Parts: sequence; structure tokens; C-alpha cells
Amino acid sequence: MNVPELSVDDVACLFPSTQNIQDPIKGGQKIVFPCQVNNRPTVIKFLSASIGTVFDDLAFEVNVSEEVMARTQREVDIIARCRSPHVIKLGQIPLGSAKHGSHDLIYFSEEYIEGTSLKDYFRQEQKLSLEEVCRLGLEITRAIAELWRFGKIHRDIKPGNIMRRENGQFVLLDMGLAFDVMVESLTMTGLISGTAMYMSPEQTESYRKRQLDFRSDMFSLGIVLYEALAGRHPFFDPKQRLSHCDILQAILYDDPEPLEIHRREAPDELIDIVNRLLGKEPHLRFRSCNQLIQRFENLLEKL
Amino acid sequence: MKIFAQHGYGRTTKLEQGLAQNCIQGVIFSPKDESPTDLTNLVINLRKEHPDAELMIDPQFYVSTTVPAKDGHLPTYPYYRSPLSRKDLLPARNLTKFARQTMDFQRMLPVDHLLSATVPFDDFTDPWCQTALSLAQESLEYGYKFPQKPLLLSFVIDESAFRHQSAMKEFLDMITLFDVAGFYFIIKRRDAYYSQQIETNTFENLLYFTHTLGSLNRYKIVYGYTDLLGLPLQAAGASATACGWYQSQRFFYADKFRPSTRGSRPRPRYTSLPLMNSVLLVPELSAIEHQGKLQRALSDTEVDAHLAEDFSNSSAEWSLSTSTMHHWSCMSKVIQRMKRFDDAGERLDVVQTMISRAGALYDQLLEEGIQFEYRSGNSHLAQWNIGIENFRTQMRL
Ligand SMILES: Nc1ncnc2c1ncn2[C@@H]1O[C@H](COP(=O)(O)OP(=O)(O)O)[C@@H](O)[C@H]1O
Ligand SMILES: [Mg+2]
Repeated sequence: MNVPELSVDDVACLFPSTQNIQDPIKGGQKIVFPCQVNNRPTVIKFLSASIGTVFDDLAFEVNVSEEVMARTQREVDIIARCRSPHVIKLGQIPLGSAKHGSHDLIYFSEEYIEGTSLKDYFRQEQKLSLEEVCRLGLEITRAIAELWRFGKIHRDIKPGNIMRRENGQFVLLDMGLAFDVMVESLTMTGLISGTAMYMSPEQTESYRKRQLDFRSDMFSLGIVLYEALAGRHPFFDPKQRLSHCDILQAILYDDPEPLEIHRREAPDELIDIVNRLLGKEPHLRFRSCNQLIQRFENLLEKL
Repeated sequence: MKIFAQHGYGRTTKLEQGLAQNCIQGVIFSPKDESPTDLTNLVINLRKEHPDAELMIDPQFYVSTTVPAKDGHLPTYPYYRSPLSRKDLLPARNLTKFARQTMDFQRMLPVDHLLSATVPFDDFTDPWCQTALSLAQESLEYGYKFPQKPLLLSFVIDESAFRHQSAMKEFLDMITLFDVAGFYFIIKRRDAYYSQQIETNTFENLLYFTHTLGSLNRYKIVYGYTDLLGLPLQAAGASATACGWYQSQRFFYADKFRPSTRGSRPRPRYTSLPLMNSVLLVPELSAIEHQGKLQRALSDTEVDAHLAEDFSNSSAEWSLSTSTMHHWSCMSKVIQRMKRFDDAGERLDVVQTMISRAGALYDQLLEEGIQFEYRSGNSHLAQWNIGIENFRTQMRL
């Protein structure tokens, strides 16, 4: 799917009230413009409303129907009701759609987070301190709990979707909007492998039509925490080129290398938590976010 | 980790005796075997005399679907509806009513837990399982109102359901989303005769089931109608297992609540921890005594001291009550030994050590020419051991 090609001038033209629009950050799916709206630091995010054009040999296109827009609106409404400091807050520009040349775009806005994405932070730091790993776990679990309060799961927890504020606080971004459901169906056919690296086993087995719950997000968080502790992904060496099939196989059947090897000083309790999160079956993880939150809190007290 | 008495027919003073001697730490009452007034008085009196004992009532709502049923006093209980067909269990408002009335009766009594209404099922994919889950959901919602009597959700499951691991796992995914204190399980056995045997694969999955719910997800898990098999189940993570006095109250067979023609009383048995089995007092234990090997087979409880001293007299006086206290004490003894360990692997080591010693003792006794009938024999030992080994490999315990 295409990340929309937009310039600072295009954004200024679309939203005349925005100030100080910065050069965009390109994600895998969205183009993100930091700016000011009514003096508030904001990001405006655009994503293409049609997908499929990257795959030149594949001539299919899915358009945003009114229904998808309505569903997206419902999801945005949920995020708006979330009260956790670890779930991104929406900005003042509401969800909408626009045309850019011949392309349909969807846009919305969020509070701008002064800091680094965890993906970049991992690159800088390699491994995080034990204390920071626990706090990362605790805070993202709080975000998962908050979403689950509305029966919602994130579906795409990974370092690129976690921001670390300059004060050290972690914030979860990029909630799976309804729009992503279409993207997901593409993912399932094996066309996009990048996003599969943090999927839970039950997410990869979409054919089983099992209903996902918050424990799927717990698995993805487990991968992130493993990475934060070990300095490497539990299942893959990123230098290797892996097929989509290899990735799914590993998530479904492989055991990660014991964490102790990569992080000798990690307390057993922390290793146990991460191993539990990486359980292949939802019932092997934690039955409530609160249980997990409690484990992290106890651990932080002891560290 | 506790042993409970599974109350049933022929109570006399066994409950009082068991609690006083601390060979049981709680009671699961059977409304089928008492009138509502008698049951009420019984619960109130036991509560008064044994404030620390864990008391709960198995409402036996599940008997409603057995037709015709040998349901004793059950029809005099306000929540009991018999006969119930699938059709009666389809409308949601019926389920709400059944769930609530079943809990309403219990919550008026000084019990520690409420147990939910349920219907038995044979397979995790069968529509009765769906009904059982709906009843659980209804009970759960009502249970939030009575936090001082935490709810245990009841399920009565045929042992053959545990042969299918993937269906069992999906069931686990569902029930681990229940925000409840715990579960009360009854495993319906296929074999109508008392024995310690169980299919290896079924047993392995049952251990997985128990461990997942009890140790990992930290629910309180109580198994009703469970005999020596309760020991490995508690090692894996169950909080308590309940066992009655008659052999028919030590396990749950599918036809338990059907009118039966089988009347003859089973021959008295002796629980030998060194053999990890119950053997016939006569001729099996007596033959062991005759060979001079009695000490090796005794379980080392108070009663065993009498047997060792004067076997012929003590065994002649082997009453139901003596054998019941002895059986409970034996299990409590093993529980005490396992309690020292926080880790399921270490607790299973205790059981596996007992199994291997029992195997060696059986071999010796068989070599001496002592004969055991099929159900007193050693075939369960290999089943248990392989089941435990496979479970441990799977869970890396
Ligand atoms: N609210 C924000 N504040 C600051 N940076 C952000 C914010 N949202 C996104 N970003 C940056 O943009 C990147 C892509 O954003 P994201 O919403 O994850 O888009 P995509 O769907 O393309 O992954 C993030 O990894 C982060 O670096
Ligand atoms: Mg992203």
C-alpha cells in the first residue's frame, strides 16, 4: 500500500489554521506531519484510502467505503475516550477524508510526542536497563488494559508504535483502525511481511477464526520486552532475509533462546513474566492485565 | 492444597470425625442425600464447630438432565428442575433463573463458596458445552453481588473430552477470560468400577488443564469425586480434591444418578500409600501380611499402627468409618509432603518418587506370589508416570 506523497505545502493548504508544519516522518503506512494547532504541538497523519498500488503486478484496489469510514470513526471515538497517559491522545483536527490529486486520503490528528520512537531508541541503546524494561512493560500493559476496557485490542504493538517521551514515559500509538482490517487481510496473504514480526500465534492463524482478545497484544508486548532485554528479536535475526512463511512458522512453533543467555543479570521473575507473555496459547499468558500490572509493580519495587 | 470430604449417602458422624482429626479440611455437601432442613442444620453445625473448615454445597443441578434420575432429596430443593431437556435450556431467561435460584439457596447458608448450576457434557465441541458456558456466564454476573462468598463455576466433563487437546485448549482460552474466584470440576469417568486407572493421554491433558488454570492463571481449582488421582492433580495446581467414603463416592461415573440394579456392596479396601493404590483387605493385604511383608505396604498413619500390632483383630474390625478416616489421612499425608514446595515440578517429583517406589514394591510382592485382582494391580502406575512425564516435557517443568 502506498504511503501518500504529500508536502508541507499540501498540508498547509489543506489545513490553513496549522502553523509551523515540520518535515514529515514516513511510517510503513502513514505520513506524519508535526505541527502546531492552536499552539498545541500536534501531528497530522495521512494514510492512503486505497491499497494495492504498490504491488504493481496486482491489479486490485480497495476503496474506502462509507462503512469503513463509519467504523473508523467508531474506533477513533474509543481512543478519544481512553484515559490512560500511555494511550496516545487525539488532536483537534478530527477524522476526515480528502482528495490529493487522484488519491483518496484519510487523515486525523494526535498530540505530538516530544521524544523518540522505541524503534529508534533500541537502535541507540541496544539494551534497556532492567528498571526501564519493567516500566515499559508496566506502562504498555496499562495501555492494553485501557483499550480492553472498551473491548478493543491494538493488534500492532511493536517498537515503531511505541513512543518514549523525553521524561521516559512510554505511549502507545497507531491503534489498529478499522481501515487496517483491509491491510490485515493483505498481510494474511503473505504480501507484507514487515508487520508480521510482532504478531501473536493466534493472529497468524486467522483461518481458525478465533476471536482475539487482549492476550494477543500481550504476546506482542512479550516480543518487545524480550528485544529490550536481549537486544535482539526472540525469533529472528534481522540480518537474515526471512520469508513470510519462515516468520509465521517461528511465531507458531519456535522457542526463543533462553533470555538468561542474553541478559545474565535479569531477575528470574522478569524472565518468567516475559516467557509467560510469549506463551503460544492465550491461556498460558495472563488472564487479566491487572495480574500482569501487579507483577511488574512488585518487581519494580524490588529493583 | 487440601482434602475435602465428598458428602453422600450414609453420613453418620464421618464428617465431624474427619474434621476433628484434621484428615479433611473441608466438605462438599450433597443435597441429594439430605432434606433441605437437614442439610441446613448440618452446614450450620459444622460451621459452628469448625470455623476453619471450608464448606460448600455442590447443588447437583446437573442431575436435572438425567432421565429417569435417582435424585433422592433433590426434588425438594427450590432450584432443582427435573427433567430438563435441551429445549428448556435454550431460552436465556431460563438460564438466568436457574443460575440465580441455584446460588440463592446456597448464599443463605454459612458456606465459603457458591457453586454454580451446570449441565454435563461429553465433548468440548458439543452443544451442551455451550449451554454449560452460558450458565457459567449467567452465574458469574449474578455472583458479583456476593463478593463475600466467592463463586466457583461448576463444570461436569466426560473424561473422553480430554483426549482432544486442541478443543480443550480452545475451552481453556474461553474460561480463562472469566473473572471469577475459581472452578469446581467433576470428571465423569467412563468406567463404572472403582479403580486408579486413566488413559495416559487423557491424564496428561488433565494435568495441563489443571496447571494452566491453577498455577498459571491462579484460579482456585476444586475437583469433586476424585480419589488418589487427586494427588498428582494437586501437584499440578489444584487447590483441593474431594473424596467420599463409599467407593462410588470416590469417583464420578456417568450413570451415578441413574436408578441402578447393582446392589451388592463392594468388598472393603485398604489404602496403601507404598503401593499408591487401594487393595482388597482380604485376600490381598492379608496375603501380604502372610508373607511377612505387611510393614512395607502400610501407610504409616495411626490406624496402621494398630494393623501392624494385631493384624487379624484390626482387620476384622475394619469398618467403613475406619477405612474412610484412613483413606483421607493417607491423602492428607501426601498433601503435607507436597505443600513444602511452591513449584509444580518439585511437587510432581514427590508423586513420581512414590510411583517408582510403588512399582518396585509391586514387583517384589508379585515375585513372592501375591496375586492382585485387576483393579488392585500396578497398571495405573505406568499410566500416571507417562502422563506426568509427557506433561512435564510439554510444560518444561
Ligand atoms: N503522536 C506522535 N508524536 C510524535 N511522533 C509520532 C507520533 N505519531 C507517530 N509518530 C512517528 O511517526 C512514525 C509512524 O507513525 P504511525 O502512526 O506508527 O504510522 P504507521 O501506520 O505508518 O506505522 C512513528 O514511528 C513515530 O516515529
Ligand atoms: Mg506504526
